[in-house]
Amino acid sequence: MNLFINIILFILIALFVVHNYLLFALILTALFSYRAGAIWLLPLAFAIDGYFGAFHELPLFSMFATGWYVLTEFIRPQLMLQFQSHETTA
Amino acid sequence: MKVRSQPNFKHDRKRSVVRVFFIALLLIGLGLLLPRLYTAVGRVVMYPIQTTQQWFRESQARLPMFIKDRNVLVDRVKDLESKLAAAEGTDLTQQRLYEENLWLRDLLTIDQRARIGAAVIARPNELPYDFMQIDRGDADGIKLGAPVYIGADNVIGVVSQVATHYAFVELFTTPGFTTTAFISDANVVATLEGRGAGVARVAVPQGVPIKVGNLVHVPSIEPGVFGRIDYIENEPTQPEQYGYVTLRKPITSINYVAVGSETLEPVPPEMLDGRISDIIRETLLFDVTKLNLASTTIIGTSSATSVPATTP
Repeated sequence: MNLFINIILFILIALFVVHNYLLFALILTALFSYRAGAIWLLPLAFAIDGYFGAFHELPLFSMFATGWYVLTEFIRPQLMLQFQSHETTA
Repeated sequence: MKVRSQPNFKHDRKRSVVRVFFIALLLIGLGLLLPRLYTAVGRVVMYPIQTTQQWFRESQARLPMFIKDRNVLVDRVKDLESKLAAAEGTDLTQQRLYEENLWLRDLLTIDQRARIGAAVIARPNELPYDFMQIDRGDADGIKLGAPVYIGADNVIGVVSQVATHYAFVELFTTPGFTTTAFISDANVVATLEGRGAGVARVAVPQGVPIKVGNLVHVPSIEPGVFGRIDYIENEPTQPEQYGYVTLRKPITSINYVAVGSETLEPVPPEMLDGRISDIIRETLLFDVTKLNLASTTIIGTSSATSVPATTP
């Protein structure tokens, strides 16, 4: 079930980016990164930049995805720990 | 069994993140070097997404139509809201100008002329079209030729016949009724001619920029706006174009009118013609006996010179 939801989120992120609904894409990206990790967004960002021909100039999505991956990989474990400690205290 | 300690796990994790980061940077660099390859791969990978996007844009299916209609409606609402705001602004401007106009009129005592309210007691079909009968007459101060209003300044005709307790109103739309009219915006004076059935027309030469919505004033009546041009008949081969004007209010809906207390005092055409002839005659005729003229007449070989005798 989790895998299915993650796939749906992944496709929705791609659709929203292509449709230029960047705010929705950002919200779903945050959710997806928390659930499945941001590493899966890297190939998507490369594909989107390739699709839009951004490698002829500046591949912004790829750069943003790389930065986002690094950021989330440092934040995510701390978030997980926070939630775990809340659950144990509750 | 090999058990990883916590510090080692953290260290490995950091190493893997750094490794992925550098691989990503490497791929970005490679993409900048080989942009065409990345574009081709991107197009292949994104093909299903592209197809979905196309389906959303062009399909007549329920979901895309719902989203598209919603967007169209949202845009329409925004457009109408901006128009409403603009209209409110215009309304305020009109209100301000109207109040200013009233104040100036009051200052100049223009609207001191009283009007007589009257009820319409007969109208078409009881009467010939473009005629109305009102319940006020000579005894109430109605005068022949007085203007008849249906609003503050909307004049529709003149009193054409007055009895003691009733009067008849001839509308500007009566066939054969002609008056001078002024068309605003185009700023041109034209003849307003009644055409019957609640329609009058103004005839202006070709090239005069009259438009639908131009106000038609009757300058001999103050204040006197007859209506707006509703339709323009313009045939380029004809020397004139016509603007058709109808009553703002249907004649069957007019229950009350206001009659001006002052008559227009129309000048009959015969009197005008007579006056013009008099003026021309006065200009051309002169008394020759008062002139100091010498005339020479040559008849055959003999000549005669006549000099008027000067009287001392």
